[in-house]
Amino acid sequence: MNWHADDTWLDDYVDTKERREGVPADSALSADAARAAEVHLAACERCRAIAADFRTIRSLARALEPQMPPPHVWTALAASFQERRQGGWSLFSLSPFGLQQAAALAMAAVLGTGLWWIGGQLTPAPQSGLAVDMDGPVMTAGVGSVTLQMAEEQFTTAIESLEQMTRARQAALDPDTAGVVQANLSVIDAAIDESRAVLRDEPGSQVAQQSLFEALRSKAALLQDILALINEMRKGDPDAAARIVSGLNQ
Amino acid sequence: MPRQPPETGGPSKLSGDVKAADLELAQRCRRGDAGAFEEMYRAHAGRLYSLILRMVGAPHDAEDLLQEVFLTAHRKLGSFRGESTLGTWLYRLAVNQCLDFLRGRQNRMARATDSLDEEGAVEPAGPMPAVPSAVSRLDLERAIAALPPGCRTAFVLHDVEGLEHREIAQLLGVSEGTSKSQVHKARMKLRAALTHELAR
Repeated sequence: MNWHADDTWLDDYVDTKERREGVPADSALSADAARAAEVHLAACERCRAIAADFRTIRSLARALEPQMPPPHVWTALAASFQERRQGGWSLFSLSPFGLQQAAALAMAAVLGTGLWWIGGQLTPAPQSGLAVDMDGPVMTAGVGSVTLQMAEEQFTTAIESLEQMTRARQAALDPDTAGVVQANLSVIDAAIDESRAVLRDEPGSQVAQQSLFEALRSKAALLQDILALINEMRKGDPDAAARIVSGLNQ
Repeated sequence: MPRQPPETGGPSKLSGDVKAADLELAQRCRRGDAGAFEEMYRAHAGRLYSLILRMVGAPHDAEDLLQEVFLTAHRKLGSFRGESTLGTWLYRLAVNQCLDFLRGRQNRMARATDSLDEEGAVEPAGPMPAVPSAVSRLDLERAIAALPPGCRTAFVLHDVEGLEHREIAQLLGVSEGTSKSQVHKARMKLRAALTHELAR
């Protein structure tokens, strides 16, 4: 046998030897093969060294202690269990990975709607033909108002999803951070209300439209930051959480 | 502390008391008993977290996966029939969650494990000093975390968790030969890492 062509017999040898010593292990070598291996090992320093190191590694590996998860894992899990038990909507029961995906989806909807609306604003109105010339301003205003309404609805739906996810987990925030978050949300909500009030009186006001969508976008971004913050706190990453809090304070 | 590998035999291996207690705990969890859910967590979280952490390497991934395992367990407890202990059932669930996670990561990292399978065990030229007896638990934990995912999984299941190659092959859906060769690669890499680390 060419002992050095394939060293995996050394694993079998170590396992077999340990099993003979009463350690739970695979027993892969027959008695004859084990004897032949012993003869080779007695003469080969290299293989003897590998076998000895394998035994050291196995013995160290067996001695590794169980590691306990940090306490916040149970806190988060208990909250999810409670929400599920109370028959909360599936978003409340999302696992950390599900939460990230759902937040990303809601954010994608927000961004998509925003880009769609901005794109609509940048599209030039048709310029040719008498009928268009005559009906143009009326038609454009009509399409613009429908587009605005649809975009706003989509924005609002996406923001509601983000709000729902945030509300379900905001208990994880300390009171100071929760205060900053609430103050920022109040400012943005006031801006949204103000823009909507202006648009009720002047539906064609470009400035009010712009202002409304800016405010909706800011709210979505803030909610996204809050979810990211909660996630970092659950992971126990204070540096990442501090970076997000610093952004919230600006 | 030697691990007790999860039993893979049939129901005959389970005592009636264990089976009844596990089934009752599972039923209480399914009924929404928060105390039972906590009892299940406290009894099994340590072992599962150790397994998951060693399989995936990063603590924050391990924490998320542990939560995922218990949430999935709660959802699937209806399928727990007491054919194995609750611990074994959760253990399999955790291994499968880890494998799904590692496969996802592997896809993201451009098929890293494929290249691992082709990669041979490394042995530096010339004689190596022996793995020093002063190697600490932390040194070994660090070296395990640095192993490529494929051989790390096989090593953790075999050398740390005490599973046999036959059981690992079943869990991972590979041949026993693949399990053996991955454990061999892992041991060779650990040997190199530990002698190198302590020689510095």
